[in-house]
Amino acid sequence: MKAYAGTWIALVLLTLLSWSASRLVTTLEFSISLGIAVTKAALVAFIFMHMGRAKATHQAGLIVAVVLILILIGLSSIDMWMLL
Amino acid sequence: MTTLFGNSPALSAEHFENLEKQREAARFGMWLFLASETLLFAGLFALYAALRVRNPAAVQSGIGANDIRIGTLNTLILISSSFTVALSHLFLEADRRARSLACLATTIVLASLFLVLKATEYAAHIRHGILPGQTQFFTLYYMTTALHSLHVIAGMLVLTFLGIGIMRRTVRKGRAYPLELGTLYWHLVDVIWIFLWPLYYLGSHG
Repeated sequence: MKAYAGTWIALVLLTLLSWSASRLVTTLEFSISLGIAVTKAALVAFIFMHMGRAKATHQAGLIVAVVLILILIGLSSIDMWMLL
Repeated sequence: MTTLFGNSPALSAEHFENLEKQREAARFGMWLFLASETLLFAGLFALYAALRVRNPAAVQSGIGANDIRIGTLNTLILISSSFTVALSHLFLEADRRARSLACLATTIVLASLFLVLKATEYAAHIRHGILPGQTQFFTLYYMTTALHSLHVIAGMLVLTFLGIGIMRRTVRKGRAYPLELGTLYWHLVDVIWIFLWPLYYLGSHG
């Protein structure tokens, strides 16, 4: 119960931090916002979804999906960048 | 006796040796489903990345037209709903049915609030002539957020179904895994929004 409440407070604070960063910083705000989003997603996955306690076979499916997304995003971005 | 979530409340389905194996199979199936759901959004995230590289000014301009207050409020709402749905499972495992149901009901109310705010935002866009197909940014915005909203609606239906199961005691302490699987789905819906918020709302508002 305490872990859940602590996680919820951390998620709210990180959301407010991300919002503040988007207003204050100009050059790095997108990278900071994405970094905060990854941290928030990890908090939800490991505390609320208990991903750390899930079996390796269960985790593997999701990890493979995330890796495939990163490859797809990376290749699309490189392709577009080369067209510039 | 056939119940809402299988055969007799104490027994596993016929093709499983025992309830624990049935639970494990269900958990594995749910994690695979979550992976496939993640991949469903992969193409949209890749398109966004390509658009951001190709035409960053169009993305910044589109973000400027979105209401950051509604986006931020919706983020706080979904984060809170993830907390309440996690509590619902925790309370059910502790055999506190009433509290579990109250948390589940709160989650559904928060999800409804999210959808109301999203609809308000769509209505404001349409009033200002911002429609799908007008710009690449807004075509992608409508596709992604509408697909996410459909997932919110599906999640609400699943949680309502589970609430009925708790009321009928087919989902209860010792047989709470259907709720565990439902909460996993709801958390994924939250995680997807956690990424959509910075992509479509943060930037050029300062």
